[in-house]
Amino acid sequence: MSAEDQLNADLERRLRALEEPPHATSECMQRTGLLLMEALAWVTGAVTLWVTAVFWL
Amino acid sequence: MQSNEQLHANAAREAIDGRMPVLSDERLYTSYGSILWICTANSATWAFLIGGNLPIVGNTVVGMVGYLCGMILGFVPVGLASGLPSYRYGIDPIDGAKAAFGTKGAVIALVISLSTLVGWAYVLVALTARGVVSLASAASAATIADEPLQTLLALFALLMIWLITRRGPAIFRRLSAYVAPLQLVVTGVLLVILLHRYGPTVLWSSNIPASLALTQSHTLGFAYAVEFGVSNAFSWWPVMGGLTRLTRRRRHVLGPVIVGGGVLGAAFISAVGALAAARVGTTDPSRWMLVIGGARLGTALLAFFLLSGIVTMVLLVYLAAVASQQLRRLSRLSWDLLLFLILLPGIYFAFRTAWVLRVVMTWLSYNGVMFEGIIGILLVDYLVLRRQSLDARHLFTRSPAGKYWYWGGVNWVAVMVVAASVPIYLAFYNPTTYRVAASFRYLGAALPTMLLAAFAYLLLTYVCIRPAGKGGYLGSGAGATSTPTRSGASRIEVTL
Repeated sequence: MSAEDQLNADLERRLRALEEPPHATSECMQRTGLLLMEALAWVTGAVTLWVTAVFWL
Repeated sequence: MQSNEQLHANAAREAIDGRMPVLSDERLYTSYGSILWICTANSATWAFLIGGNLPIVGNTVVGMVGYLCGMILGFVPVGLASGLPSYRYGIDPIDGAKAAFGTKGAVIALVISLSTLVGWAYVLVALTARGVVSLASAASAATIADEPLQTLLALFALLMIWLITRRGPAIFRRLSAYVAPLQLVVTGVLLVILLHRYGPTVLWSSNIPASLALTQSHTLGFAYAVEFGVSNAFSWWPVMGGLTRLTRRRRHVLGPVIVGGGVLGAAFISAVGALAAARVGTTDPSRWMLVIGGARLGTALLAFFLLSGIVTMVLLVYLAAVASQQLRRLSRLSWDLLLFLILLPGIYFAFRTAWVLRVVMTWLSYNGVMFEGIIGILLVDYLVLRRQSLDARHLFTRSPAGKYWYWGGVNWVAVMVVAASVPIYLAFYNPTTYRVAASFRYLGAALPTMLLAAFAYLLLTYVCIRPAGKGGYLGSGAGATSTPTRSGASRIEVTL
């Protein structure tokens, strides 16, 4: 088996592993609702700071 | 003969040093601190340089607060567009970009990404070499021949980068854990000296002369500072995905990156740099640090900051090496040889450090204006159109049967939107002349350009791409040529 075939076979194994446990059941593949809420909180904080600063500074 | 554990360890190492998906149990960054310190160190390297220029917005405090807002507002879309898919599938951000740009079209993102990473690494090498020579000249009464010493130092820095980067990302995780906290301590010492010497009232009202400022309007000045922050955060697009593919916990994808890269490493250190620059009257950190710290302490602090830049250089070169493996021939080279090839042009630049700082930095500021369109497209593509679901197999195929093949491997719609976003951004704000449109004072330029690009791509996807059955979007007929297997995966040939 050539080095190129070996690399592609390894890639094939890894792509299959993405769909199976432990990766498929890990945090990586779970819902990201909390992360999106966190993103929204950061944006809200920054916009609030922007508006407040323009009025008060 | 190797044991199973050794084989697994070698495979994991190859994945981390290469483009292969990194599985959840192989991820290196398992704690909040590991991400926090890497991001802090990467931001801190530039923070004094950027901070010294913040008073240009007319009011130093307005500049400091606006820059903080801009960093946060910039990091959030970058984290969602680049960090999230890389975290989920363990893929390099260029592979992630293939879903929107096509398996061949992602080369646009690759060129921008590589030129940004390598370009800034060379700029940093030149800055460090020139900084050390300035330091040596200030410390000794003797005249030092600048150019030969700068070249020698730049070559030495390149050698150090190669030696450290070849050991993989685990080594700069360890380095960052020492360097970043020290950078914050040193900045804290500088702040205490500033407060002790000038007092809080004088320091708080330190501004540059009105004739040197861009504006005296606080609203416009704030918008300028926000723009500096957002642009800086957007340049993290290739870095963010490269870090999150090595991150194990979901709660570490956004929080430590924003706190480390945006709040501590950028905003806090830049704020101290801004106050010092406005008070001393020079934007050059190597000058104001010697004035504030005195000959001995100032020299020691400056020397520390120059040396700590090596962590950033190593991170940039590592990410560039991983991204460059998109090019087929480079993916077959050994890791050491690949790093050597990436650093090879640096040997030429080591003999021309002044030229690097003059020409490369101007070019990089224009290169960065393409990030707005790319981030807008990736954001709407991953979060809205694909609902956070990619077919990882189809990211690694060069076959017309692949979901992300579009038209000859390129999504021309995405390419056109990125191309159109450049003149739109420049109409809002020109980063070299500081000329702005009327709306700039309320919205800035990068954020509305990103949102316009996102909206345009969303609209064009519904009008052009989905009806043509391209892109593997929900409801479109793409990918039908590949045969589904029992597990639901397509029996499509994958290749690096």
